Amino acid sequence: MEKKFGKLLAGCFAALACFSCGPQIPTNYTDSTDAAAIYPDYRDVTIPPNIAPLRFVVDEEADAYAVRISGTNDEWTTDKREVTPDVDEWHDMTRQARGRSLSVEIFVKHGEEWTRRAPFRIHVAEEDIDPYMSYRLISPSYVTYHDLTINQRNLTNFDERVIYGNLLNMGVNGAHCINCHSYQDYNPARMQFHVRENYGGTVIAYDGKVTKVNLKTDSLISAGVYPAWHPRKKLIAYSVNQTGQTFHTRDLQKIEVQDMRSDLILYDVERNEVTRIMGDPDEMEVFPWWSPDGKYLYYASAHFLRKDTSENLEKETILRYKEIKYNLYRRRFDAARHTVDSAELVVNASAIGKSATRPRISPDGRYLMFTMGDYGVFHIWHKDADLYLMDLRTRKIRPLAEINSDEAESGCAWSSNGRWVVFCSRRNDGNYTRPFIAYIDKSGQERKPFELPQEIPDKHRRFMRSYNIPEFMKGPVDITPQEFASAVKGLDAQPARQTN
Amino acid sequence: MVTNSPQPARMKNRTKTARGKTAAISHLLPWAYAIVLPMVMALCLYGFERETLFRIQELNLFLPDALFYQSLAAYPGGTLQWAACFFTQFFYYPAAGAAWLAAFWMASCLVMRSAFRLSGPWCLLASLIPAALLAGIVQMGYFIYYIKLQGYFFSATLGILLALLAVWAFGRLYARNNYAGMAWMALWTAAGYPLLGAYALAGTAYMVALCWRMPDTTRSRRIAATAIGLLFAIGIPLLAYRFCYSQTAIGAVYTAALPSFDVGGKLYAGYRTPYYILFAIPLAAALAYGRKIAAKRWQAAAIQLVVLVGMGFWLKTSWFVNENFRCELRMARAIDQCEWEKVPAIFLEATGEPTRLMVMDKNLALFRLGRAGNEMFQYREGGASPDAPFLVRLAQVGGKALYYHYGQENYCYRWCMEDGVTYGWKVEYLKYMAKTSIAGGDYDVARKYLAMLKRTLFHKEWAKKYEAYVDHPATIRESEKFGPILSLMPEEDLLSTDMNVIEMFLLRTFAYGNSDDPVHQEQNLIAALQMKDIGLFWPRFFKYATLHKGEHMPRHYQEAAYLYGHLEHNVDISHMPFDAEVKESYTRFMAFTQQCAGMTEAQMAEAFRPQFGNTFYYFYFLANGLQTY
Repeated sequence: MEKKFGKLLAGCFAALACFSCGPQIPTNYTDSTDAAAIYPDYRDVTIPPNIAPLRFVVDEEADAYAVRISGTNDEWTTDKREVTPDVDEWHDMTRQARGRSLSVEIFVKHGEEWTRRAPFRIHVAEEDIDPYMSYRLISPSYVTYHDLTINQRNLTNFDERVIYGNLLNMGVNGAHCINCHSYQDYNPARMQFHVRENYGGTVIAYDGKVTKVNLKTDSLISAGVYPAWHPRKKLIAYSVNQTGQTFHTRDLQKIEVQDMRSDLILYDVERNEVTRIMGDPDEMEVFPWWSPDGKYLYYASAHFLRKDTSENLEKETILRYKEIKYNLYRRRFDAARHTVDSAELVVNASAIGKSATRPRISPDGRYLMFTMGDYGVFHIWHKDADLYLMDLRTRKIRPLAEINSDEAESGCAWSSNGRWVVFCSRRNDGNYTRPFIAYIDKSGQERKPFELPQEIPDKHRRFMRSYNIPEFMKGPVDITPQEFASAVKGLDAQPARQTN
Repeated sequence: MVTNSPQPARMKNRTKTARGKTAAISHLLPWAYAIVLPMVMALCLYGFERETLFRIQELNLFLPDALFYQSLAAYPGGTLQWAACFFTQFFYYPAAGAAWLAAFWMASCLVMRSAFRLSGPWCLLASLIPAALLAGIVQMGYFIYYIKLQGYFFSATLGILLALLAVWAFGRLYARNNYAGMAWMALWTAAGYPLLGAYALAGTAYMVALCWRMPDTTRSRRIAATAIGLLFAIGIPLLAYRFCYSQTAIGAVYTAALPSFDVGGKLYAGYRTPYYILFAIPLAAALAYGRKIAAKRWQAAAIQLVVLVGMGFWLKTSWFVNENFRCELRMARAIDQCEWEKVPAIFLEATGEPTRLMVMDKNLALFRLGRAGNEMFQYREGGASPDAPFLVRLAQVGGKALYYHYGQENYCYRWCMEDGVTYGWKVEYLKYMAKTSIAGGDYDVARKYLAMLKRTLFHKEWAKKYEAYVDHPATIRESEKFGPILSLMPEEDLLSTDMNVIEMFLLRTFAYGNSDDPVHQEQNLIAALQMKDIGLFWPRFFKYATLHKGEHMPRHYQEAAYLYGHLEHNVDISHMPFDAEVKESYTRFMAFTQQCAGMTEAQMAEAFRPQFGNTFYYFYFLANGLQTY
């Protein structure tokens, strides 16, 4: 009996060993200096130890494949063209490789010959990344929209959930537009987003309580548009915008989104009060953002002096669209009185014939990252748009060469520890925006970014939506989409009072 | 009493034979209803709607990958839509698609017959299922461009078949063990709802109805089964809304996977009729469960005949038949295949007033054939509204093809994107997005769409063909496909908008444009002609003459010059070598105008058409008030 049991046990172990053996990596092969074509391009990128597995596909036709990812002590192998490490195994390797790197070898077989493509490394940084990211998913359409969602993605695995989807309140008249999700200091319990058209208003969730407000007053151009939560106070800065869009007849950039007019406001969440930030009427202020200490309000502004006031404003801005260039400014904020000082020029982009937008300050307050293109405000449609970094101590500006591409880069966000930035790029195909994450070291030096890893490695090749405004969060939003839907539908938008 | 009379024996034999024949007919009738009728319906669909079916698959997309499945499975009933999209692609060969439908319809009849124990004439009830499904398809007309439900043309067929199969299983289980039946009902609703949406709930409703008709059970068990059915049918969608689906409105949970038939914010409830009938038939069948018709044979036959005639009449009235719609479909296909000769020929086959799309397609074809200058006004002008209860816009129907072939690639791309977002991604949109990207030089994104098309069952060869252009961009300009389009592309970039009025946008773009490319320049002249703008005409006319030195000036351009020269006397036409026919027809036209003095414009249009309907003079004076859309 014992013998039989022993045999059975041995058999089980043998079977288990057989199953647990990874695919065989060829021992006889020719080394090639050519790099393997892979998608996404994860060669020599720097990643956080807690990021989801960097899954990829080998973009080379071959008769057989073998891939080995080697960590400090472990290795993971596959004989599939789709390289899809498991989350736990991956994290075992990345945790051990913290501060070091993983080695990736790709073998391809043509006929009877195996070739090892030039191996590459995936560098693992010391610092983790915030566990969650949120973004809006939207097709890069022009006027129409149907299915819009604001999603949250667990960056440590592939779990992606909807925070709110517009179809939850869909009627025969269609679904409303949702946009501009924003958080106070990476806190998912304190967020806001806008609902346009049906059931319109700005939805604000603050420590479990959901309200809906209408920020449009008689004297404002519009309700709040681009938001920026004050890092500590119950206060949100917005731009208010009169926006239009027109279509290029030939240019591959296809569309031009422009502001005809824009201003800045402050919204006191507690008092439901709006205060207009007074400025030059010929200035178009937009994209407010707070310094991490809350002492400065940064923003972009274009000086647009009308040449012909008899002309329709919209037409004039369309005709002169390449002349509209934004600079970056900041204003000191008086937290006690909720007032701002006069504008201080920070980035004089127009002086070099450029247009700078979307300022974002690193959490340590040292760096200002922004988007700069040849003209205009909506840089995600501009192929010349790149990310730049200003050292606020020296005021020196430089393009982020490791990050930028020939296609549009725009809309960055810093992680809460300041070591990672996520930004939008259209580098894959020039049309669809994908989130890329880059490491920025303490001296402000960037490393090669990596595309947000996906469970289906080449998902983004077929995915027909763009990622809009990626933002890091310290955790998930706990309010369910259905709870948001009830609030959006059930609550009347409380009109805000304007104080000035 | 024993009799040896031969007479009664013969009579007996005859009666026997008659009875045998009747029995054979009664035996065959259910099979005829279940097999022959669905087959006839599918044949009719194939016979009359081949072109529509082909276009339907162009307006469908199925990709065999997890991402595509996930995109549909994010909604209740998504799996059904996924499967429906899979079968819809077989309309690439309309006969193959129709054969699938026939098979599913026959299966539905047979399953329903068995599930509800329908016998004899009651079997006709089962045939109403394919009739309702057919009506749901053939009623669509212009709705094929606007339906938002992915896989519409197979989803009802598959949904009702699966619901009936579930009812069949329930009947078997419930008959053996009531509790097993109830467990199946609960399981079906819970598991079926995410997969099939409202069709799963319908199946549950049929099971509830059936349990009240099945023998060998108690009232209390029927009540228990009903309670379970109602509880699950009401509760599962609510639970699914609360915990599973974050992109489905609470008001839509009970109608998941059903079409909504809304266009432009308005609901067109008339299109729902086949669905009401479809869902009511199994309920009626539940009432007929195990029943025999007590009526006399002739009465039963008469009832069946009445039902059959009624069904036929209903199908005929539901069937969308419109000559212009069919011509548009055929012209669109000819344009897609660059069979330009066919386009004006199809146009001429239509007998009524054409739609603007037909006119524009015809003009495009004549232009591509180099015959526009001689022929474009020789065809009937028209502005018939598309036959639909809702506003049909050119952008959704044929505008993308027009934009593409007239070199407005960004606008073609734009409308593909807008409509893809609104109505779901289709093969047709992806093809145009790939083609416009190739023409515009946006090769990376062209590869994206081509890679998607390469994953389809029937469009991979097409994609490979176009991939060759991306691999070898130098061949694009020289190619027959892209060469003429590149000539028409805007030479400089402008910011503009078409305001969703494509015809006017094209006319204005070309009429106000100016090019040295002979192909492009001729379109500038044609647009100026169509806009009846004398100021725009002359410079384009002279430029055309310069660019085509030594060539015969096409007839319509001569007519315009001759007419405008006489109307305004701003340009000296006395030395221009007009054809005698041009001058002569102008003289006759003006003389006839004198004869028709006192007529209304509409009367004049009719009176002039036989003699002058093929001239620019007629177009200039009498083709007015055409509505574009």
